[in-house]
Amino acid sequence: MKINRSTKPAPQGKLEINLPAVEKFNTDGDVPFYFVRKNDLPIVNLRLIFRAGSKADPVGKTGLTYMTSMLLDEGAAGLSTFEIDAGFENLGTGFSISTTQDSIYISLLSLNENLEQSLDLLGKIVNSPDFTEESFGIEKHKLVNKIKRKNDDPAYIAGNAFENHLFKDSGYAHPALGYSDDIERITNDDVKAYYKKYLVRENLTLLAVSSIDSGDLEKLLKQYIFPVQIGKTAVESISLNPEEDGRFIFVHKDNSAQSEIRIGHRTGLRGEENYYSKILLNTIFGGQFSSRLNLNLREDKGYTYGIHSGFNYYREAGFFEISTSVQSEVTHDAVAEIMKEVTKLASGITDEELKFAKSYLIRRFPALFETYGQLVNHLTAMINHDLPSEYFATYLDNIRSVTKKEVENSIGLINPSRLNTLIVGNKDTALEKFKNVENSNFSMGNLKNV
Amino acid sequence: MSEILNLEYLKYPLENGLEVILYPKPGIPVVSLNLWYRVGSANETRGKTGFAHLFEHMMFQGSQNVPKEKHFHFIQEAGGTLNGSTSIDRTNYYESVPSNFLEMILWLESDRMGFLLDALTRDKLDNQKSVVMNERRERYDNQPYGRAFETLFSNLYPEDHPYHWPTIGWMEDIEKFNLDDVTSFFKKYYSPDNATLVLSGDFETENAKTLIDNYFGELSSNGGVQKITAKDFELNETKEIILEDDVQLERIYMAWHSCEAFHEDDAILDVLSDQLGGSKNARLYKSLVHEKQLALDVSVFQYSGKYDGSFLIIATAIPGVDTEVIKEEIKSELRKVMVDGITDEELTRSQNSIKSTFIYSIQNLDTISDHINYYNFYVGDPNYFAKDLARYNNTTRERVREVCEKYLSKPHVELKITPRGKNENK
Repeated sequence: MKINRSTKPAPQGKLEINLPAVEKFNTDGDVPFYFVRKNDLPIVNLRLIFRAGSKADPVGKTGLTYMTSMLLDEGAAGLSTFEIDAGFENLGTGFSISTTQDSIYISLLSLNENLEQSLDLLGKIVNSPDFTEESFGIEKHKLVNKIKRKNDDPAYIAGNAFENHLFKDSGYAHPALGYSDDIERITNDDVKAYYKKYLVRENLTLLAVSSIDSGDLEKLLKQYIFPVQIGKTAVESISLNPEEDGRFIFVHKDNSAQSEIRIGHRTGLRGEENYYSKILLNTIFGGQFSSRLNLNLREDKGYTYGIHSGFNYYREAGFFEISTSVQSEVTHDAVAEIMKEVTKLASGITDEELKFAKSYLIRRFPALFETYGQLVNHLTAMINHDLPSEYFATYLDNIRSVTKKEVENSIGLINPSRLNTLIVGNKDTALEKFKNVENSNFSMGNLKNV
Repeated sequence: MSEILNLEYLKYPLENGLEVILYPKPGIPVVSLNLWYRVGSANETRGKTGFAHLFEHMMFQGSQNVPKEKHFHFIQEAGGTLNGSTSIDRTNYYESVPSNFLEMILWLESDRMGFLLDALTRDKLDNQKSVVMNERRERYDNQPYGRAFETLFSNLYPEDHPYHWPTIGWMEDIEKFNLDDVTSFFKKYYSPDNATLVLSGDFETENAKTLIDNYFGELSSNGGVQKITAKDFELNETKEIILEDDVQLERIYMAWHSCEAFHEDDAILDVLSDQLGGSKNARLYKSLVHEKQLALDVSVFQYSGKYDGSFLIIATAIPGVDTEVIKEEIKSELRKVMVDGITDEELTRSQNSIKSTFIYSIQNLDTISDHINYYNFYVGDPNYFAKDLARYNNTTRERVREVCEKYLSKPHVELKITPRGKNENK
């Protein structure tokens, strides 16, 4: 049969969408426990979230949260770090600890048949870390060198310098890894004190995506994970300085073949009502491959391998950021083109753009819950921002109901005069054309400070 | 556990030679389409490196019935995800969409398999050359240690070996490509009989077969692509190379010529790499990073393709530590394995963690589809998951010792990446 290729085939039939049901209850007194049943494979993905992130690092001791979390599995309850690691490997269990600005995540991916033994190890790590002087010395040394290595990466430098500028003098100003000079000042006693203060029951939330029953899982958690040490929530709220007008900051890095560009400013919190308008706006502007920014700077001009924008959210702050890396010689042209796109936003969006953005967000939603790990990450975001447990169930309607007017109202949240531009690149090839930037607004960043 | 790794599939050819593999998997209403074209950077020649990859970009620039920018647009509008990638051996294109959009993605993939050239323009090529040159800058030239692998492989493999150059290509080659190159490459390699289509997920088999036949059946094939040959070679002596880069920490890379993917030693070399660098208990990690604190990190892997392979050990030095000292330590640990082998405990640990990795890896439909194509390409059996796992389970301590001696006692390529200016002071 000869087919007609000239038009796009229409979808065949409608689909029924099943979104995961999130159960939320309290366990062992008052620890919140989020649970999603998923039976695809005989596995359990579990995460402990302690509400204690790098924003709680003391002034002059950035990196303390990261150090503490990294030391948890460097020996616990009489087991050496090697015994712990071999234990997990023998069980085929994935175990990881990570530190963000707002939280510490301790995660476990285990086969059902090895879950109990995995939890036994996890309980030892959470409840009885040894914090020996020897491990402390080794990990501190490692961290300082790790930062050295990361600081060769222009994208890492740019991201840190940009957020440092947006959030200066607050707990969000420094990277979770901390700064080397500060880390040299941290002592093992600092680590022990941090652990005692922050890794406590009132700071803990549990979540699991599991092929075993919530009741059975809870029993195991009670037996192996609790008691987590008793203690009160201790993380203090951060305070942010009022934001100034946008600045232009250039950080010179020798021999850069490209310029890393970050443009943006602070915006509102995740919980604000216009969240869905902002998602739609950003989808159109720079949130995916077919966005205005990418079609212009990549698919038309060829300046970059890719450009992206997003509204980003910490628990207590938010910011809008455009990020890309471009060939050094076209740095100025690329920034000018980005600013042109920002300015163009003021004339609004089209009906087609909104239709596309809604279709994109709505139809892809069910696929976001395909793997255990994806679900764990979505639940984590939900917990971090105190979203209601019916968040998934109401998401689609929330997107559908946004009007064009509402999206256009949110355009005003991106304010051209407040946008900061930060570039990490080679001043000899990238900076020349920026000579019109007003002196009062311009500064050279220093690689040593970022 | 082995029943989880057993996939019920259907494999058949169309008349034009296109190979089709269907793997129906009811569950979430998503279908995943994964096409492998049997062309990678190994098919390139000197002076024309990077073309398989640049061509992959051109496949997203529209075709006769699909305007530029619409390939992405249509799939994203349907809520789908998509991409493509180029390796030394093959180029793949994949998308997953809600299952009611199956016909649309078959239309898109068949339009560019059959009618790409009708929509080709100079502007599109120039634009994507510029994008790819920026990709090269972003991922290699402006990346700390970013030029390490191309330096290693171009020194390990002889000049006429298909793995001598990097997949992204040399910058001066990318710059030179013209429209005639695109046309002849397409005609030569993008023929239905040089591709395999895998469809996985939520679909009815008969419906899928009809649709695939409708969209792909009428495309004509050009009758076979010339086979690549990689001449066997030996390094006569160890090559030492020093490359300066904008980095603060010195790094050493050691690369040995090993064997191709699915060779009888291939999985054993994977196990060996896990023993040496795969965990905290791994021998090199334990000694270099933890006990002697000479290195910040160490990684070890067997990197094998259809025609050949290499075994790599990489370590980043702690400031003040000479990479020569690290090298001696690596050699001494390797000698221990060559003489005494590894313990039962070590072997079991690797095998257990590899087993669970197999199970965790079959969660995502795109990954499953790509794996089906992978096994089909390398061993001719789409349902090779359990057999692949058996390669690791059947490894013995003696075989690990044996392959370590067989490959890692030979001359190799040694690359040091040093901070700029460091060697002037020596």
